[in-house]
Amino acid sequence: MIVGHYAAALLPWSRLKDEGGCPFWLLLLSAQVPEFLWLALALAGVEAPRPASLLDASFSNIQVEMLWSHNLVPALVQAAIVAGAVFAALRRARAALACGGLVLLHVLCDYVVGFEHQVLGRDSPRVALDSYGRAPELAILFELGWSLACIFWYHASEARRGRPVARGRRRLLYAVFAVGILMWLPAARTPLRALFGPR
Amino acid sequence: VPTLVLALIAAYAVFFAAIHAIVTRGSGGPRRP
Repeated sequence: MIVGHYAAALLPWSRLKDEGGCPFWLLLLSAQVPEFLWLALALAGVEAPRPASLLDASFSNIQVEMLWSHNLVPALVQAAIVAGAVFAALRRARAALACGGLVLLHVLCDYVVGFEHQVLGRDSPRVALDSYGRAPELAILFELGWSLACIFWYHASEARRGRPVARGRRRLLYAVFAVGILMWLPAARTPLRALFGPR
Repeated sequence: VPTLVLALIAAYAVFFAAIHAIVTRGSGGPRRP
């Protein structure tokens, strides 16, 4: 899952906004902690994907081991660290729980929509469906459905709290997620070089 | 050059900014009485 992780940040936002003290950017950041850790490790060559070139990569041909960023036990550690850091900074238990929960939710979503992942080491039991390898188009459409459901939940939650979101902004949010998710669909099985390169 | 990772970083940054702007613009903060 890529952009769809951001949709999870909408789930606790209405309630936390009521209480104040937890900025939305912190929820967005928490929802992507394992991903940003992976990107840093990938740049350092620790969890580097192959192929490295955007032109040669498709969802189904990428080979990557995300042992430190996405395996279950390291993700639990990340969630605990994030929750602890947020509590230390904001002194708000609900915000800390939400941020830690978003970290854990990130990897759980990736176990459904993503690559192969394990409990701890590379030889430990597998916990992911490897949907990018098996059915990348279906995985991307599932990500879209998840995101739309989160947005719907957020808009309903805001309406319940007497802050209905204007129709234009509702549509814009749906559109941004739809574009951010569906733009990867052509590269589900076909690398960009094959799509647009010389024949 | 790991262009795949660089492209992903750019995509994450762009959508972070876009989603944050849409959700928080005109956001009323805590519930009004």
